Amino acid sequence: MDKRSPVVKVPFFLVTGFLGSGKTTLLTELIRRYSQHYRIAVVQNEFAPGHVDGQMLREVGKPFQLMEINNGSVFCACLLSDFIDRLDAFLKEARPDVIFLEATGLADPVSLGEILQSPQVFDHIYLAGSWCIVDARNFFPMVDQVFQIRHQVSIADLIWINKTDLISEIEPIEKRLRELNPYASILSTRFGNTTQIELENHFFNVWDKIPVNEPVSKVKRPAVGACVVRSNYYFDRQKVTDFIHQEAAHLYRMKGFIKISPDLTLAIQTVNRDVEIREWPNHESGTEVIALGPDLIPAQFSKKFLSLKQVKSSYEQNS
Amino acid sequence: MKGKELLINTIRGEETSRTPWVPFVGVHGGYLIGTTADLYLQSSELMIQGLSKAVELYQPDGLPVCFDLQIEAEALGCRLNWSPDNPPAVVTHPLAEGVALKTLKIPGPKDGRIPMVMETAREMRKKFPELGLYGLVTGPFTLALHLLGTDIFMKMFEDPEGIRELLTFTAEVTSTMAGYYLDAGCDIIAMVDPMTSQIGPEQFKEFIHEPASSVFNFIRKSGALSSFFVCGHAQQNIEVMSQTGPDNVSIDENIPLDFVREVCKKYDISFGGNLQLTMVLLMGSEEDCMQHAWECITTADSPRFILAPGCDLPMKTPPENIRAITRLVNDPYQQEVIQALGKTSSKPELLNLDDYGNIDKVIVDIITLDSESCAPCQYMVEAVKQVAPHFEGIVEWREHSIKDFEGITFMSSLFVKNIPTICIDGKITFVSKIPPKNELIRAIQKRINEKLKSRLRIKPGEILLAGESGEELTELKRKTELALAELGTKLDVRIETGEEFRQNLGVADTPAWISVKYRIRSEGRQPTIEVIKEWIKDLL
Repeated sequence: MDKRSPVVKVPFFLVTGFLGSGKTTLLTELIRRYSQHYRIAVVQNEFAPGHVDGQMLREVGKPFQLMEINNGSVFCACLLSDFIDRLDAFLKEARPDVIFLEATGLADPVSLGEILQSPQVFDHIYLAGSWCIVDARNFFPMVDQVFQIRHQVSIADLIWINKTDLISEIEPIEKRLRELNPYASILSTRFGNTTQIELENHFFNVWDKIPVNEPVSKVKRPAVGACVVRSNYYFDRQKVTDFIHQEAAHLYRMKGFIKISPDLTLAIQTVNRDVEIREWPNHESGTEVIALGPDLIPAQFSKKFLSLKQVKSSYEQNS
Repeated sequence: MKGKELLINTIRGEETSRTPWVPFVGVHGGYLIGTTADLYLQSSELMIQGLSKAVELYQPDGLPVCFDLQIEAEALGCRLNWSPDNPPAVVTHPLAEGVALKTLKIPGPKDGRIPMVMETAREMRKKFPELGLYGLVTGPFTLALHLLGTDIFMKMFEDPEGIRELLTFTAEVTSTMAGYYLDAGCDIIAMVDPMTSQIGPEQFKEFIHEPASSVFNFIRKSGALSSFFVCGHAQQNIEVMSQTGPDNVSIDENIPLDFVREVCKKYDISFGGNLQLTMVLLMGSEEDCMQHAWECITTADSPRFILAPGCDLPMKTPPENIRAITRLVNDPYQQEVIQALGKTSSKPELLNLDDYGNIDKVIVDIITLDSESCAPCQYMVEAVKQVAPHFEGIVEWREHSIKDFEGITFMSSLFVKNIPTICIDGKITFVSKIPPKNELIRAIQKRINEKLKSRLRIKPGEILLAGESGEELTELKRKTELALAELGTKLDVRIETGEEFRQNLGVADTPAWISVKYRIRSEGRQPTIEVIKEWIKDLL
């Protein structure tokens, strides 16, 4: 029997979306509604273009913790090591119940997820989810112009279509979102109009079955581990299918895209023991899988997963 | 062949002796000399110190003079936010704040930090004439994004002409910077344009082809070599990037190397990349780094491949990780070791070696690549072979080649990380270096002494006297007790008289004097059957 005491880890949400989509508005709303009950922390890019830094959040007049980062609009893998150090220090000082990272429109959400596996912060936080805010007005043509918009949509758990009051029809947007992400929940909203129920359903979704009216900090949470695996190899279809079924039995969730050949990608999702696997023609990047489970150890999970790759990365093999 | 010559030959597709290695040391140079990124990137003196340290530690074939994509933007009026751990970030975009494009001037050699960076290049050229020096220039699209902000994506749709005009200007800036670097003595100009990964090939052709081609034409006409650096998910653009006429394409971990090789082969150009920055170089172990570097080299499988990270090294990348890659690149023997280890796709089931070595003999294990084909392994095995006879049968040695699965299992079970390694009774004793004879003898003797000491600590045995009851046993007992008394020791003396007992012990005639020795071989755990067999053999 495992005698370790359960580690209380803080859920970490990525809030992605292109410039002006309404990320700060959503965070403002969350702070306004929940800061009485939870210690909410926000990581925000101080100098992201168009943002009024933390000012807008502060104007809510409610307590929350703010960590400002200053990596400009380019937040790529090479700039992340500093982020780990600062996040570590921030966690120790702020001791939040939940963290939201407001990512810039060009941030790669998978790289951000990867760095949370750093030993420095792994014992304190876990990647609980990725929410993508979509601006209904500018969705077309921007979605076709900018890769990262499509990428952020494709890996989101929850997609909010915002500013729906400013457009006449929403169906084409939903259709395009579904082409990019088969499994995410899609909500249409103007944040001012979001019902309490809608917001709460998603806000609390991660702590499966934790009563809404009980402060999170008082509830014993499991030692959740999250793992992000990225690879540009092709994978063996049979082996990954077996693996997904096996792993689903002891994970909370697993989702992502697995490249089988240049023309074939599998979109996968497991929620507890329910497994969904389907062929997916529209994923533009390589294999990207995010898993969330009790006591999940990223190094072990990714090693196991990567052992399912085909012998060569095999552009040759498949062409 | 090494350094500049190796790099140039690789890029040109001429004969080379090995894969060139270019660790992109940017602010990491500051880390190597204990300074912050902001101070480092604003001082020629510090950059020269940091780069010199990198040359000493990493023995690279090439290095970038300065990895900072904000130099041109700063000279053009973008405000920077400085950080102690990262290159600075552009935080204002003049063209989005009302500045007109036509008022912007191509930066001169004395603007912003340009003179400081060129001074660094000149000094590095003087100090390391054999080193391949990369001059890094910001690509036209990334520079345009710095000047205009993310509005650029919308404007590409709304005002394509305006964007083309902007890109013509930024490409001129890029070429001008390339010229400054070439005048300062750089060999290769790398045009770094990571933001092109955000757009598709159609947009690339429409907006980027012309300006990028103009930069590469300029470099070619100047008689220098060029590289097109991109990072992020840019697989869709490799083909159109290659069509702009660079001599090399360099990519990050998001793009499969063999895909890039095939495209580059078609355009007869060289390619480089794509060591993983975060998961391997920053967070991995030395072994992870070597294995991953080897995977890159073998996946690339081309004489026109340059091994490099996907981007600027994170500031606090552990230097020992980068040094491990240097060892791998320069040492064919390290490559063989990594290759042999890499062949095992599945992790071996570890042996339980808790009780290993718990026998009277001393076991010397030599973990090798293969002593027949690997010189250091051969010398190590020879060393043990020569020493073993000194101990007259007490020392038993075995070679475990990691070319066999058994060898890998054994290596993993003993947590051996380097090859060759000598373990004495399961304990790692000599790693990689061949021990001098005396040292090896001393180490084995030390182990023998330890065993002797532990033997003194074991529970004493007892004495069993077997026979018919009566005088003969009484006499034997008397003599035994006398002997014990004279030795000043105490042991239990037991008498057994039953026929069955005698038969069980195989006593042919009586009286018989039997010594019984107790030795605790394991406590509080279940030893494996294999280990129990070893103990049994010890009794036979």
